[in-house]
Amino acid sequence: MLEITGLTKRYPNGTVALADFTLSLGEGVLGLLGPNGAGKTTLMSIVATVLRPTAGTVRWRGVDALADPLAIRRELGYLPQDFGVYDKLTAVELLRYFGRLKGLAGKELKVAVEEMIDLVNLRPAANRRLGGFSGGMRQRVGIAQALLGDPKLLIVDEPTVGLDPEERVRFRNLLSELGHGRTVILSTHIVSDVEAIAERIAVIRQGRLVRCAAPEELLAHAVGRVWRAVVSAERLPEVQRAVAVSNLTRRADGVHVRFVAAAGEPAIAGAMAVEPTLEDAYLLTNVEAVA
Amino acid sequence: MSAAVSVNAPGNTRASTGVRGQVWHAMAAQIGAETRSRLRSPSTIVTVLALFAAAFVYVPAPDAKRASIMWEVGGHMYSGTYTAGFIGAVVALLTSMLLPLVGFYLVAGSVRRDLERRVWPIIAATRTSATSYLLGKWVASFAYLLVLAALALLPATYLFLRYGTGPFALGQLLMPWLLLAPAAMAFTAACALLFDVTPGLSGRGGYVLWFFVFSFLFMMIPAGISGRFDKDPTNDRSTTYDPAGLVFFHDLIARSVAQPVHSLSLGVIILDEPVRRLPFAPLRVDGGLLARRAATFAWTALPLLAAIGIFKLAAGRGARAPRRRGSRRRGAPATPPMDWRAASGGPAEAFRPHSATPSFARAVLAEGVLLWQSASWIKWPMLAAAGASLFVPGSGAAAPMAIFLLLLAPVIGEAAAREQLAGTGATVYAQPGLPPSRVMWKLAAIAGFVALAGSPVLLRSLLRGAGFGLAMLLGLAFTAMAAAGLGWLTGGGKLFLGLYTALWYVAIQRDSPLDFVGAFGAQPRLSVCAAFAAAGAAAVVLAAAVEKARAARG
Repeated sequence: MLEITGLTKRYPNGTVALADFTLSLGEGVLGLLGPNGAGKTTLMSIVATVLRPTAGTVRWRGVDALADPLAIRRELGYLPQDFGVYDKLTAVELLRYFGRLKGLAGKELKVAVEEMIDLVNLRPAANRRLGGFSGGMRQRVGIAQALLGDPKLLIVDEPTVGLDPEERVRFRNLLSELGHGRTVILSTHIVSDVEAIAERIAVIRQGRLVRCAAPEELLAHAVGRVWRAVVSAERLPEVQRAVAVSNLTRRADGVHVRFVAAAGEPAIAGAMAVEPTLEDAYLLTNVEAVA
Repeated sequence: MSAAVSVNAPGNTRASTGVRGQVWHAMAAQIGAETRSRLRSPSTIVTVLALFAAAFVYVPAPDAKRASIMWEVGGHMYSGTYTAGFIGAVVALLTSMLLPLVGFYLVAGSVRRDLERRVWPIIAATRTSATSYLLGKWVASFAYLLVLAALALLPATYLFLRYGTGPFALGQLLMPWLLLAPAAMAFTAACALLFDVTPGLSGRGGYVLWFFVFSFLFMMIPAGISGRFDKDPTNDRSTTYDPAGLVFFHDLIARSVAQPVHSLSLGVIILDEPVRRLPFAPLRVDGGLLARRAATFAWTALPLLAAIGIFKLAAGRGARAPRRRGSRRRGAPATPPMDWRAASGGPAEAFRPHSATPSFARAVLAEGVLLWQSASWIKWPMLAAAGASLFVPGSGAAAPMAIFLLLLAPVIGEAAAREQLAGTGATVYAQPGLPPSRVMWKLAAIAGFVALAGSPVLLRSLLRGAGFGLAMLLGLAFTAMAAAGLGWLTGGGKLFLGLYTALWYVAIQRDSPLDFVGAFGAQPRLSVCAAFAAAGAAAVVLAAAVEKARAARG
């Protein structure tokens, strides 16, 4: 449904945010993982047609979205990472505004907005001005506007930032449901969010696609490459230089270090292979990309 | 090798300096941040160029048939010969009269921006007190305006070297500026801060109001309390309140002529014959003058202290529950209750598909509704004035028309830059109903809104005559296009609001040559209205070109 080919974005200051990025997406949830500055937001802004690439194409259902942005916008729900709201408006007023921009009108608009208010659990605050909303409540308004108009392509950039754990679970479930019959691109730093709902995970680094695979594949690849060892506090810097540490805990018997090693058994005495998590697998992918 | 991170003991950090040191550090940080962000703003370059241009316009060649400052003595209008003292005084007066009007718009909005972008809570969590935060803002604004004002001395020097007569007396050239500019800029910076922290004045309404406040504070009050311009010399009194130096300049002229000075004209004064020029008495600085200027500077404390007081009061309101709107229910929780069923892993509510038909018309309607919703209370008197213009008989209708035109500006002033100001660009521009040109989308929405809100005014003008109707139509078109074009180009509403308000003030004068709606004279000047409409269209074309260039740049 969504074909991204050779996408390159060079900003006027010379920064290359995307370099020959190619990816093909069908229905379902794609988790987009990558360190800060990897190019995730640039990628999503281009797919959402709010930013033009330097080179490359984006095709949605076979139509060139760069030549005909409306082709994608008609079916798009977009939640940017940093989005503003109009503080003087209420949640209902803002959602009606976005509903009209999406082409909803009359009773359909009214009903759709009410449904979105309920969906994101904002009923008691629906008629309060957004200026008084907490960060999490604003985020829910952002989610609601993205879902208005029944988008077939949903792009959400860090959607769970500011949400409390209950709301995070709730939104994850909703995204998972929406993945049926739709294309959902979810960018986040929270690996557990991706693990819970993404059918495929794309790891992006320095503007390039490092790997795109199902979570199970990433985990399988990490088997035998994740280790745990107990080292003294004095040796810790040496260990940190030698391997990529995914977790460390100070205990009475020393520092418990969990780390990934790209190839072979690491040269750390007493290291034991352990079951990898998706976080380990993500870290390993990055280590391999750097290597 | 140790992995321990070196942590400074509290006693070794700069944060442990005394309270006075903390205040200075906080203020220095504020000043540094403000100065850097202002110097990197394109508006600084535009202002510097405008100041240079204004200096050359306001000091024309001595034999030119125009002048910027003239005074009436014995029924005749005069200006001064181009001595170092006269050029210095003219440049100083114009700087301290004009820069406060424009400079206010350059420095206002800084606190509002910090509040809206949630920067203030971060600053408040540091050792910076509200007082040092605001003092830092004031010093930064004052210094910025003073630097801009100082740039006017360069053309002053050039103009003396080109047109001047008599010796190049540097003291005479610089001293008027030194006496006038600091007080004017300090007072302006404090007023901008006061507007910025005062609810109701910190936005579009305040930007419009400033024009009138400026006229009142910088001209009418000093002229009134000094009694200099009432044609009765016995009323003349010494005053310590003279922020723009109007009284100071009047006294300089009075020392140059034998008869009483009845009026002082400022602006671009066009004459049929070369200006009559009189020798201008050199400036003599004495203790009394220095004391009066110092006292004028001290008046800055009044708006500054008011700003600090209001800010401290307003900052405490953040703890209160936000105001409810559109609902009479009381006692609802501030945060909605959790859906524990969903939180425990159960299914979320089913998502029902919506059927949408995006179109340009619906996008324009959405923006038009948003204009109405975000217009605050100003929309009600604006509509009342428009409606009243239909019913007030005769020439009295000009008054509600003028009120409507004035209140229209803050309602539409920031519409074109709404996304930039609120950070909603990415969300809004990804919507399907928007046309490729967002400038045209904004223009369509603003023009539709103006046409709808201004329909009573338009109808009344049509009833007066077809020419009046056409003039009003052109004037309203100019207003909508200027708001869309300038708003888009500047990313805010300040330039449009400042220029429009000044134009409005000139236009509503009886038989004004700048009556852009043709409503305030015996006959409409259609060529003037058409010229304004063309200027508005030019602003839109320029904005569309900039938009296109930006899009091409990616």
